[in-house]
Amino acid sequence: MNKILGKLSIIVLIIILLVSIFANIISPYDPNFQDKENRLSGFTQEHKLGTDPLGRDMLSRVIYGGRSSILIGVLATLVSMTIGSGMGIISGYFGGRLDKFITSITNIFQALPQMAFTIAIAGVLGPGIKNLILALVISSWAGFSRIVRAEVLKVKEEPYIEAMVYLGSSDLSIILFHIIPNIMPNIIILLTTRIGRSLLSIAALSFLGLGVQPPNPDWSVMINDARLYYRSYPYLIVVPGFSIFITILSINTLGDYLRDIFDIRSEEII
Amino acid sequence: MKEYIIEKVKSIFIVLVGISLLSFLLGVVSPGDPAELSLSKYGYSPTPQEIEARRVEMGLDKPIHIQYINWVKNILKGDFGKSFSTKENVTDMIIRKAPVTFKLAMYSIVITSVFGISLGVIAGINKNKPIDNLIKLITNILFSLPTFWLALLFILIFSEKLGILPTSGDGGFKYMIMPAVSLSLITMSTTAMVMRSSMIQEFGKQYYTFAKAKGISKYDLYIKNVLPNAILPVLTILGNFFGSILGGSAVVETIFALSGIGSYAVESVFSKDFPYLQAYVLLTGLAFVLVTSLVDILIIIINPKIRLKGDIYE
Repeated sequence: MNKILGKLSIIVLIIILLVSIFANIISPYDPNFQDKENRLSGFTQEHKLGTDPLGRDMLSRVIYGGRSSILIGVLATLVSMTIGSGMGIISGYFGGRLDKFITSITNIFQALPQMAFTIAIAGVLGPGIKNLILALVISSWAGFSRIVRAEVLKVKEEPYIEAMVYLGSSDLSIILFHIIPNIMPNIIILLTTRIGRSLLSIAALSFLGLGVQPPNPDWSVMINDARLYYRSYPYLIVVPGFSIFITILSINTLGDYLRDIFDIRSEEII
Repeated sequence: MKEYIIEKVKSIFIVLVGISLLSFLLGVVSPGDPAELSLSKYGYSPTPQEIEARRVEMGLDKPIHIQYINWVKNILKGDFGKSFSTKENVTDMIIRKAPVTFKLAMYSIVITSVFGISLGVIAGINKNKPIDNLIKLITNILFSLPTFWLALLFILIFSEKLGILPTSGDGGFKYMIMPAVSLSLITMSTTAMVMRSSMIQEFGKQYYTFAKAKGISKYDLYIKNVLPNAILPVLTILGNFFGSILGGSAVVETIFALSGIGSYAVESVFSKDFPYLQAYVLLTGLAFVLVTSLVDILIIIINPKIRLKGDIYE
């Protein structure tokens, strides 16, 4: 069951990525072109998924709609992962006061409810892709740190690592060649699930007007644009929302599948 | 035990200082001049002299660490400053708005607990059977739904099509159903997953094999023996969730026009009402820390035998 769903999710993700990358070739219209004669057209021959309140082609906007969010989500999660894992490795490997210090910082960042914190940072920094990534990184790196630290502590107790220390291997080479390869499966799974979560946060922020900004064709922005109209024209929110949902569902399913492959049952990684 | 409590209090203190620093820093990095923002009203721009006077009055001429200390002192007195946009005391605004969010969070945590725990128990007992797979599929789907989209779909279905639930405003129970359900889905599915795996872990323990061998009824076995043990990790995450729901209500409050602390936090970003935003972050953080610490203590009271591990300085 998981195997089939896992493979299916990979196929779906590849399709979503290809569509996003080649959006300019595939989409029938310029996503920002306003066909003023044909606003809120419903499904027609010219506009397969209808047009929005400004007469823009929905299909083209949906095709473009994943680009910014996916890019931001992946970038932000990669940066969070690098910072968080780095901190977690240092903290778990060296222990002592450094560990206490890093753990305290991690606890502080984890004590703020993520949504409230992200809204506040994004709000204070102002709109823009760079600021959005920064807000996501600040509010999510600590999650990586805590889990990676716990994994490092487990690996560190392995007899062969202790042996390497006695044999005089440098800390750096132990970390690079033994600790990191050992915790890599966990990091990859964590990365996958966290990309899914970042996408949910970005979607929420963009919907609130604090993330990706209009007129950028983005799934959440499209839903926000439709807030005054969706009750009479449900198609305005159904397709963009479904696109977000399928993307995140595929990422989460892939995460589950990876967990099976690597045979990791750590419940920490949710 | 005593050592544990001292360590715990110490770490809570550090966290509280930390979140107050972070909230303070939000104000420091926020764009615009606080003195000017606090004087500006619709259609009125203050003169440079007024701004200068206000700057001194607000203590903005002092070095940054003194500003922080004064800020904390005021907060300890219950004074979060005045809102830049409504000129009202932020404390009064929070007191007025918090009950709405709190009510929403209570409903959500009840939904999260009841459905999350039940689904998790059912899945755990029927491990790897079709019903377990079905529950897994459902929780995976719920876990991937954007809250705001679901909330809008709810409005389309239950208000527009069926006309059985009101779309906005805060009234009684009926008004809270859609917001609370939308807000609960992710936490509920996570609770179910954790409950399931916690049950399954108990199945590997000696008392379980023993009780099963004795041939006691399924009800006694699962509900009386396994559940009380398996539920402890779930309590911890429920505590976490209550905090994160309190701080995660912005989207739902905005869609359903509930005048809680979250929807105004979003407005405060647009109206550059940074004192409010700072108070919002600090208070939701504080609530989060208090609730999770209470749950930790509660778990120790329920089961003092638990090894005091998994905590900050293990």
